[in-house]
This record gives sequence, structure tokens and C-alpha cells, in this order.
Amino acid sequence: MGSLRRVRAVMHKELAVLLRDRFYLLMAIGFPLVTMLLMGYGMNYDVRNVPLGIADLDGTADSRALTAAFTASGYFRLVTVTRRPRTLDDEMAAGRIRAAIEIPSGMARALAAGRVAAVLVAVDGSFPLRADIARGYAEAIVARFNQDRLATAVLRVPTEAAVPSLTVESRIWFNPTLDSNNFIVPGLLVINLLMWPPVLTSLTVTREKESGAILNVQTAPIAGWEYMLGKLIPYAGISFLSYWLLLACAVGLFHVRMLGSLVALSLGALLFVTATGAIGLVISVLVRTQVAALLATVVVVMVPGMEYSGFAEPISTLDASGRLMSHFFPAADFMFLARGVFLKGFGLAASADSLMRLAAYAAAAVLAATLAFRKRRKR
Amino acid sequence: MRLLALIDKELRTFLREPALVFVVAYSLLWAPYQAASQFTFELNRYPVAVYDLDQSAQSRAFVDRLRPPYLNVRRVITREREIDTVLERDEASAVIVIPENFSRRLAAGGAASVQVISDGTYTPTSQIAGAYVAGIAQQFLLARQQPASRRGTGLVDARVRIRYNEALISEWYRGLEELFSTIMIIAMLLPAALMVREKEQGTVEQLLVSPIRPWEIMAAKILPMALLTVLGTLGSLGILARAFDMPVRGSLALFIVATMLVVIATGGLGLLIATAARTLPTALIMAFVLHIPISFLSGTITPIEAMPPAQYYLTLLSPYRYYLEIGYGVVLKGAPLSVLWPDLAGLTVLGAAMFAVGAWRFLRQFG
Repeated sequence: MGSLRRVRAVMHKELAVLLRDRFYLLMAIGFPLVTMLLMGYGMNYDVRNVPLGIADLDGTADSRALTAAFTASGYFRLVTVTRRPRTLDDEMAAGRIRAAIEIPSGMARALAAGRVAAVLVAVDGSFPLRADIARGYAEAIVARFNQDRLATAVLRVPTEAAVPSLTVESRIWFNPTLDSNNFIVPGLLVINLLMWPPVLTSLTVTREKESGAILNVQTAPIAGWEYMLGKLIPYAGISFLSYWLLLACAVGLFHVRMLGSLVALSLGALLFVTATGAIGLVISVLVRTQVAALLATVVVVMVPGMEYSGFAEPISTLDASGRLMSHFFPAADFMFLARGVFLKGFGLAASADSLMRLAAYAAAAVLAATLAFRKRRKR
Repeated sequence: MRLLALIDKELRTFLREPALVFVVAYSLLWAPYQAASQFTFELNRYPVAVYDLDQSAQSRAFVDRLRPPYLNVRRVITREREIDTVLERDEASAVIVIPENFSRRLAAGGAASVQVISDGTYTPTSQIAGAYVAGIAQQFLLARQQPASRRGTGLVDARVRIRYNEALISEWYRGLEELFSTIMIIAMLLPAALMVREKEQGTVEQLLVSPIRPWEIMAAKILPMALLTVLGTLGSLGILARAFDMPVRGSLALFIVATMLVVIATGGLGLLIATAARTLPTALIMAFVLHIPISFLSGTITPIEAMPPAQYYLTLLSPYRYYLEIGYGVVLKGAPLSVLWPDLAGLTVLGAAMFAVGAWRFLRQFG
């Protein structure tokens, strides 16, 4: 019973600190929301309306048809039309266009003669991902243009055998419209709960070290685990509150549908903030100053968390060492769970494995914080 | 002379603050390299599963083309139900289904099709994967059907060339992106940290009662840190160039001028933080949070042309937008001043405005 009282006392003190300093409160509740809003609205992986420049040196019905095939696709937006190819080079160097097409004079004549006419397509490679997608579009648009020409040719000479064609039908599961919000927003929920709880907790013990209040704790009859729990519960609690706000934001503002079990996601979030908060406490116990604690949190938690959490790409695409790294951290499991619940409709049963692992991470992190603190006290 | 003595003092303070030295060294020298080596969107042995209902020589020839480096067949599926489990458990990111009439249709000259069912949870990669399979299908078809079937129809051959980064080496982009983004945060943080340090140690009063004028205090916080940031940037660029064979095609002088301008402009934001924060951790967190909207208005995270209109128009007011245009323009594209001058003008004007706001607030608090 006594230890419960001591845990409550530490909690009480932490809550008082949290409520008195408006900056910490802002950090706990406001910053995650701001991050979510800015990133949710700001990130965009859709490749549409790529700014395009065309130098049409042919100026025939065929060259205009090819131009129209590009602009009508919705993937390219015509920005510059010129007769000088050099202009396109400058425009691309200045970043005003990302793709350029040069239709040489004599294209229509070559086509009419049944020859192959070369058209130059240049794509700005400074953003490789987007360049790769834009190249795919350009090739597909030209292939389509050719298919149409072949089809009309076959119609004109109906006696000959038809040309076989092979189409690839893309079906996208879990996110049929490929709306990148559905991809980004659940990911951001995870990233925010990964980032802010350890920032908050890593400052707590170091703050007491800087002010000297830690000596009171060292000499007080309080066990390490009582002190750690007392520190962890208020911050994990407020981060869990922030989870609900982020969730409301995801569903209400970004219109991400949640298909799976709310209970599973919330349970996962609670375990996850406990784990990340406890990791922050471990850091806080090990370093001396608040600044060092912040920097260590960035290096130890945020950087690997972003890279090995599966935020940007599935864990299954990482190489073997990357996949191994992802297991050192609870972020990958919670990312899998969050995207699963939001988009794949995971229920409690489908989430069970991830939840178990998250619970193990949380327990291990709390244990590590307690052990780290005890070691320090003996010195 | 007084200013020089002050600058000397600031550099010494900086060197005695291990946390700050660490931040600069870590984020300028190590982070861009680290970011470049990780985190790819490109298809690299993208895990797919194959569900071949046709089981013919043709379908096997098609499956044979789904191979590394881009794709990697991790599983072969024999029942439809498995599609669900494979995608749900993340065992593969796409399932390629070949329907049973595949070879018959091809032989008859009809329209055959292949289905790609991909995991839309990861939009960027699934988009590229779809495009790759479509490309593979076209190659497969071309390899099968000989030119004879063209029968004299003129066709367009699109010769697609990628400029500036022919091999689409994503390390270049990711390294530069991280570097440009780091410059912004460091240039903001350093002057703020030095000023807040004075507040914490109570030496700010000493400075104020000394004959040093407020603008000199301000200049001494900004100039040495700007120099340090530019040096770090050049070092980082050197590391990226060495490690990933990244070319620096344009004029280094232009790049240095632009970097100096952006660093001083960002120093204005640092001054703002210095007036608002009382402790170093607070200043660090403020810089970190301010950095997020700055990145979103610069084009480091989403290129400007892909932004929604409101965000796009806001970027016109952000000096960083112009800086990035110059950065990528000089390093990768080899663009000369004659092409980049509008960006340099925008950077100068908006940067000066940003600095002025910070300086005004700073001089009001400490003047």
C-alpha cells in the first residue's frame, strides 16, 4: 500500500510541473497535433500534373495528337510550348518544368511512310522517385498512342489477323484510390507517438539533476521502480490523451476510414506510448543534462524509428540487416498494427500478435528504466 | 575591433559547449550521409507473390521476367484465399495474377491481361511497382511478336532520357534533401542557443551594460555561426560527392553565396527564438518545431509542383523555396547564374525581410 502512495506522490509532483509550465503542456498536446496537421496536409506522394514543356518542331496533326495524348492524361500539365529545344533545357535547369518532349520535324512524314519516328523525352532526375514514375507514365502514354495507331491500321486492312495485346490491370487493395492520405496519416500517428513521449520523459529526470532536486529522491525512502512509474504514468497518460486527439484528427480532418478494431488500436497505442516513454526515461537516467537528453532522444529514438519503422516503405522491402534492426524497436510493430487497423480492417484476433509484442517491448523498456536508475543510485 | 573580439568569444563559447558541437557535427557531417544510405522508395527486390492460373509455357515465361533487381518473387500461391493472407501479413507487397486464358488469348491474337493486386497501404512503392509490371508486360509482348506484325504501320519510339541523374541514384537526392533541411535547422539553432546560453548563465546583463551596442551583440551571434554552417555545408557536400560519386556541376561560388544568404536569413528566426526561449532545451525544441513548417514550405519534402494550391502560393513567400531551386540547380543541373538569377533575387529579398523581423524583435528586447 505504501508504494502505491509513493508512486502517487511522484505522479502528483510531475503533473504539477506539467500543468504549471505551459511550454511542456504545449509540447505534450499541441506539438503532436501541429506536426500531424502540417505533415498530413504537406506531404504528397501523388505524381500528377508534372510540369511539361514541348518543343514541337513538326507542327502537324500527328505531332499535335501526340501532345494531346500527354496533356489529356492528367499526369502532365503543359507549361511551356516553344520551337527552340534550348529553351526547354533552360526551363528544366531553372526547375520550371520536370519533363520535356522534343518532337523532331518530319515525324508525321516518317509515320506516314511506315517508319519508326524517334521522339525525345527528357525527365528531370533530381527527384528520382518522381522521375521514375513520370518516365513510366511517358512510356505508357506513347505505348497507348502506338496501340491506337496499330488498331486503326488493323481496321483498315481487316483481312489480316488481329494483333495480340497484353494489358496489366492494377487492383489496389486496402486503399483503392491510392489516396496518399490513407498512407501518410496512419503513419504520422505512429511517428508522433514515437517522437513526443520520449522527448517529454527524457527531460524529467535530467531536469531534476540540473536543479539538484534529484538528491531529494536519492535520499528519500522510495524504490527505483516506484520513482520510475510515478514519472512514466503521467507522461504516458498525457501522450495517450494526445493519441485520441490525433485519432480524431485523422478520422475527422483527413477522412481516413478506420475499418478495424478501435479497441485493438487504442490498446496498441497505450502499450506503445508506455514503451517509448520508458525509453525516454532510460535516456534521462543515463545522461546529465536536458540538452544531452534531447539530442540522445533524436539520435537513439527518432532517427532509427523513422528509418526502420516501415513509415515510408514496407519492412519486407528492407534488406536482412534492416529487417533485423526493425525488431529492436516497437515502432515497426505499431506501424504494422496501425496501418492494419486503419486500412486492412484488423480486428482483435488479427492484432493479437502485434499487441503481444508491443506488451513485451513496454515491459522490457520499463524494466530497463528501473534497472538503469538503480545502478545510478549506488554510485 | 570590438566586434572581432566578440566573434572570438562566441566561437570559444561554441567550442566549449559539447552539445552544440555534437549537433553541428552530427547533423551536418553525418546525417546527410546517413540519410542518403538509408530509406529508399525505389524498387529494390520488391517482394511479390505469383498466382499462376494458366500454368503454361507462356505464363511461365512471363513469370520468369519478374526478377531482381526490381522484383523478387517471394512466394508462389496456389489458392485464391492466400492472396488475402499474403497481403495482410505483409509477406509480399503485390500479388501478380495470371488468368487461365492467358496463353490462349495471346495465341489467338486477342487481348490478354495480367492482374497486379498491390498493397495500397504504401502508395509510393505500389505506384512504381504497377508501372514496372506494365513495363515488363510490354517488353514481354514485344519479345514475342516480331516486327512482322507491325505491317508497315509507322510507330513512335519514345527515347526517354533522364537528365541530371541518369541512373536515378536516389542517394544524391536524399543526401542533398537532408543537407538542405539540416542547414535550415542549424542556422536557426546556433545563434538562438548562444543567446539563450547567456540568459541561462545571467551574462546577458553584463553584455547589456558594457559599451557594446546591441547590434554588435547580434552580429557576433550570427556571423561566426553562419560561417561555421557554411563550412559544415561544404564539408557535407564533399562527403556526399566522395561517398556517392555525386557531381557538383555548377558554380560552387554561387552555391556558397546562396548558402550564406539563407543562413543569415535563417539567423533572423534564431533571433526570434532567442527572444522567446529562456532555456536551451526550450530553444532546441522550438527550433525543431519551427523547422517543420519551414520544410513544408521549401520543397524538401514535397516538390513544389506537387503541392496543393494554398501551400504552393505560400512557398512564394518562403526564402527556402528559392534556395532549394539554387541548391539542386547548381549541384545536380549545373545551372548558371543567367538561369538562376530570379531565384537568387527572391532569396535575397525575402531573406532580408525575414532577417529584419528577427533583428527588430531582438533589438527591442535587448536594445
